Amino acid sequence: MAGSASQSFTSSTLNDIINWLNSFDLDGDGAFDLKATLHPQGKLIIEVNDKILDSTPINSLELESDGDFVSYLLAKVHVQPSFTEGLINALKGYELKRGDNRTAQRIADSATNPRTALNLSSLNDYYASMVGEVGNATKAVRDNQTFLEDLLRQMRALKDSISGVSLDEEMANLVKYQQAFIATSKILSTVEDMFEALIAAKR
Amino acid sequence: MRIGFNTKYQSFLADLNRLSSEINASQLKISSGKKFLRPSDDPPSAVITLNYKQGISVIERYGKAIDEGLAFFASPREHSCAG
Repeated sequence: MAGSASQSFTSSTLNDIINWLNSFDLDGDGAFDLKATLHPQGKLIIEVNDKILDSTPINSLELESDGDFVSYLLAKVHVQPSFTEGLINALKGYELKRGDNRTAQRIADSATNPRTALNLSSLNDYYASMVGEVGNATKAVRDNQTFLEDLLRQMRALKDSISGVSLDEEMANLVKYQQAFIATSKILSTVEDMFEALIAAKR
Repeated sequence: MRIGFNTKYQSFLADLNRLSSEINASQLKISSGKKFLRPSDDPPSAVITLNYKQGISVIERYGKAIDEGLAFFASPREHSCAG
């Protein structure tokens, strides 16, 4: 840039370059000299904003190439592939003619063609096998759930058979203890009768 | 095995729950008119059904194509070329 702005460039991104270009104000009149923008299509646009430098109009602009700026830019700028490359351009369509069904046939075949990416199965079969796989997994999980629920119920039944309350058993126990109580009271009364008899014999 | 009141109650309730869910599934089958509602209800049948459905749609598509081809042959060549 005309000798006076030959500071070396060390920044790393294209945005820094643009900011660096935008910050020039060599004559100090408040208006920036250059206006650099990045076009959406990948072009770097550098416009001259302040056309008057120290009251002399600029009529030529010179980029020095001895610094690293130009080579840096060249390395930075991505080489855009030409329009004859890429996937879309590799597709070869049929010439459109009346009564030619080859395009439609190819589209129809795309559902049943074996594909290497899908383990040599067609789209139809792959979808069906995927549905089957998911269905099988879900069924397995559901069966597992019912199995675990049954297991839990059996365990709970076992636990209740040890610690649970059985009304029949409680009733039987009640009768048993009552009988035992009656038997004990009978023993007591018999002992009392014996004592009475003993005392009567002493008199 | 000792059978307590709780054991009886719980097995009764579990069976009742199982039966209600079976009734629910059957009622859903009746209301939708379908043998299974999810692929997990019957995975092999679901796969077979999918294949048949795909075959049916392919055949329908071929039928439409045949109709269009007949119309194409019936139409005068000059008219469609001019358009």
